[in-house]
Amino acid sequence: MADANAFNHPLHLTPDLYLRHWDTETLVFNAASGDTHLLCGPAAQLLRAIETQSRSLPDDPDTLITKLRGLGLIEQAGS
Amino acid sequence: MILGELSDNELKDRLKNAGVILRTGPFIFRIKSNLEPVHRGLARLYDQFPLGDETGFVDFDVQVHTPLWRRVLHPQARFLVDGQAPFQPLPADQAFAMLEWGLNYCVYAHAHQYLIIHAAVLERNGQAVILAAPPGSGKSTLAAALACRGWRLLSDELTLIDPARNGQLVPLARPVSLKNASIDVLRRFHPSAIFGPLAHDTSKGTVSHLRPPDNSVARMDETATASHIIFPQYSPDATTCLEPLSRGQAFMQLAENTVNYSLLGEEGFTQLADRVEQCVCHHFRYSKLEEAVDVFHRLSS
Repeated sequence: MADANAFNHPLHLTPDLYLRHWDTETLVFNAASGDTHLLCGPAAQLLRAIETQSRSLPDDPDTLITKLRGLGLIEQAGS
Repeated sequence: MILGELSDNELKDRLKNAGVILRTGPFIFRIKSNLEPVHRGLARLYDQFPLGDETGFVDFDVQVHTPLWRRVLHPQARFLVDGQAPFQPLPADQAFAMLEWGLNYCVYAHAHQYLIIHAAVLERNGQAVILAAPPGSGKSTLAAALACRGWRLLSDELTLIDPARNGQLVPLARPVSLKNASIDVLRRFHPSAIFGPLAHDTSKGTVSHLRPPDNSVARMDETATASHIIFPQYSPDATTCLEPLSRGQAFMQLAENTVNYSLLGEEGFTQLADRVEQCVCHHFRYSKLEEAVDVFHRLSS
């Protein structure tokens, strides 16, 4: 597991997200864009960790963080 | 009063003049038509449906008619709702199918107080099964078979989820649309089934509508609670097989079949996710209707 402290700024979910967690899946509705995303495996784990401010992130989270930011689901606090 | 209590002449007269005020589920339609297939189809398939108050409110004012100048040479049927024509005209012998498609249009284009899934829905023993699939998957054939074997038909085409009633499923109980080979399959499966007029050479091939069970029509005001979401797929050589589907996958497939998901935004997401959460979700492959019906009987027992 990587440590959230490895990042210069803590991450958080963008506003207007609606989430459902089902087993290893996380369903996200982004009310700002109208898009719905189904995340599985490490991507779902990462989103849950950010949502709960957990310190443990999946291995090698950088690529996933870039993808989730690209989808508009997470951002750096204060941005 | 129900439509079947009108004499044949009274029905024709109303269709040509003041209109027939027909209630199907929560919707009231005023239907006018000067075309014989419409008269024949209504008399045969809607005889148990309640008639509304002639002076009261109607949700949709619809007409299926042929203009005077088109009655002899290549007669055509035009569908109008509240004076607007959403479709191109069709040959007059397709008039009843056009009415059915038009009534569906009225609901899915306007009734956004509901979350509307392009799916059949049937209920047995208090458990409602949503059958969602794209056209050609055997959804309506399966729905018709279940209706013929005692399931309550809520709809073969439009599943209405009512957010104002805690996500209950709202019945329409209208005839089941069958196409091409499915028509004869159902005739063999249930020889006493009653069909409306055959419409040949439509954009969907040959189309006919199956009369809904009387019990389904009588219970059209009784909502149901969803218990199963099933994605059926007919395949000629398939072994009957019910496979579990994850909630996430079920949600995404259901959303693709939901007419107004984007339009309803957060409400659409919440309603759909709540229904997925309360249901067991499966893929279902079948080739034999009797086996398929047995599987569904076991699900609801």
